[in-house]
Amino acid sequence: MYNITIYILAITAIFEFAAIAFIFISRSLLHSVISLTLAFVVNSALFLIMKQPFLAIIQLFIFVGGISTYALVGVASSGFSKFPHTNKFAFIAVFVILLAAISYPLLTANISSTGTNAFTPLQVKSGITGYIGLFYLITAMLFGVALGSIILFKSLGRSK
Amino acid sequence: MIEQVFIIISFAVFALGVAGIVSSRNIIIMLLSTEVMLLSATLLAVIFFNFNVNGGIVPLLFTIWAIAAAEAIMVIVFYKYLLSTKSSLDIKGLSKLRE
Repeated sequence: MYNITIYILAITAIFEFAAIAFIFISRSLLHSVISLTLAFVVNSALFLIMKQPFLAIIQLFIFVGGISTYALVGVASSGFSKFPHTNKFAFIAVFVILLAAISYPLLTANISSTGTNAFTPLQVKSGITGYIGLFYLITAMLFGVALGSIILFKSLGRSK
Repeated sequence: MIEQVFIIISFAVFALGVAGIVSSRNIIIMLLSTEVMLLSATLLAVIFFNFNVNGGIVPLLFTIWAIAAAEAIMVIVFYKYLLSTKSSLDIKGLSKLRE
């Protein structure tokens, strides 16, 4: 059971890192926004792995509201500014140095877990678990509609 | 063990956000990097309260999420300003704001 959790965690983490890295690699703002969306979804999956479905749902709501704003800006600025905005060498160098610097004290630390769930007193976890799939489905549908309308408006703009 | 893995993931996400701010010149991308850093903050808060403290996390998380939502509004304001001045999204263009 523990090993399965570790594998799921590793796959989720790889997806999250790839999504975040693609924000800075991509030249189009719209692609960056879509990558940030994937990062939000994967982050909510991390909350699910930690057995916090309530927070996962709120994370999805935040992403539906916040990311749609970014998507609008990304679409509106397509063709507005397309310069090579990220210095990739500096990006990798800063990432490696900073990660090594802030993770080094963690290697020698002895973190003891109490194993308690912070949400047990609030009793939000017990009744909401069965609805997670539905919330994910609704979020995916909303995001699909948003992306479809973006593509439609872009094609309409091109045809004019 | 698994707590440390979660914490390292959170640190890595934070480092990616900082690296994005440092290495990018596009103002929207820099704001997206701040969003990534806030993402790591929520992750670390949930890890800390989930594994070590038996208490209320919701006010802290809602504060972080409110900041993230306010930042999305900031993007609109910046974008409106850049459109009105007809400048590019390059952060160096904001040096015109100096006296």
